[in-house]
Amino acid sequence: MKPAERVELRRHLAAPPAQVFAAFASAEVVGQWLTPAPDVKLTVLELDFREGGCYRFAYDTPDGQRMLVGGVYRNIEAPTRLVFSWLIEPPDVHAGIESQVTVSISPSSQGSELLILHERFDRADANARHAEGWAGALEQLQLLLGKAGESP
Amino acid sequence: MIQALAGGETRSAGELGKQFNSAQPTISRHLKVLEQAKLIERTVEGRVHRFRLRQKSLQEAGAWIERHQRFWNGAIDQLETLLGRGAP
Repeated sequence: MKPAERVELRRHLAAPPAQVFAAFASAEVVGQWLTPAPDVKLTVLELDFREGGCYRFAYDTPDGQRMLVGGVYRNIEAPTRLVFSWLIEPPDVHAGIESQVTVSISPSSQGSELLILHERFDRADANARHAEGWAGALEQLQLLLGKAGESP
Repeated sequence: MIQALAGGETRSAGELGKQFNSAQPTISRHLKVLEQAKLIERTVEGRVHRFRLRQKSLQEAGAWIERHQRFWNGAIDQLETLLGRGAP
């Protein structure tokens, strides 16, 4: 009954799990592929790959639009699992919507099976999560401190 | 349920219950979930609870899903290409 507020993608890749996992783990590599299309340029503003570490990406489209996305790495279990929050910054139409990405990588006979699960929290869920120990608010603070610490 | 409200008109919980041939508590539970997800809105007139679809929310949720589906599809295509070149 509840509408699906999640995106789920499963894909076989011809590389071992460690190699697929490594593609998420450094700014240098992430910058080469984590964009929706080759003509959307990704600038990795920050990528602190550790649990509790922040990332912030800028996406520039050919028509001059810029989208900023940031989040916190919540769980890192190399080379099989990675969980991070995903928050688009204003003035984007989807700014402020809390969501979370879970990357699961498992070995397969041809290489790896990659599963991306991107879940969106509705406001009721988000409120419940905030109530549980202020987790959301702390995360926002962490993001803010991360931004403040950026070199100019 | 969303289909039943898609015409944009307001329907009471009783009318929706009859249409789905479901017990009223089941209908109420479904309506509550949709209301919490901000997909429908409720108005109360005396003892009658009426529901209406929030078209804007529904479109907005659909757009979010479509956008992120496109994002990840495109990104994994590029990851596949990158891995194919023997990197990282």
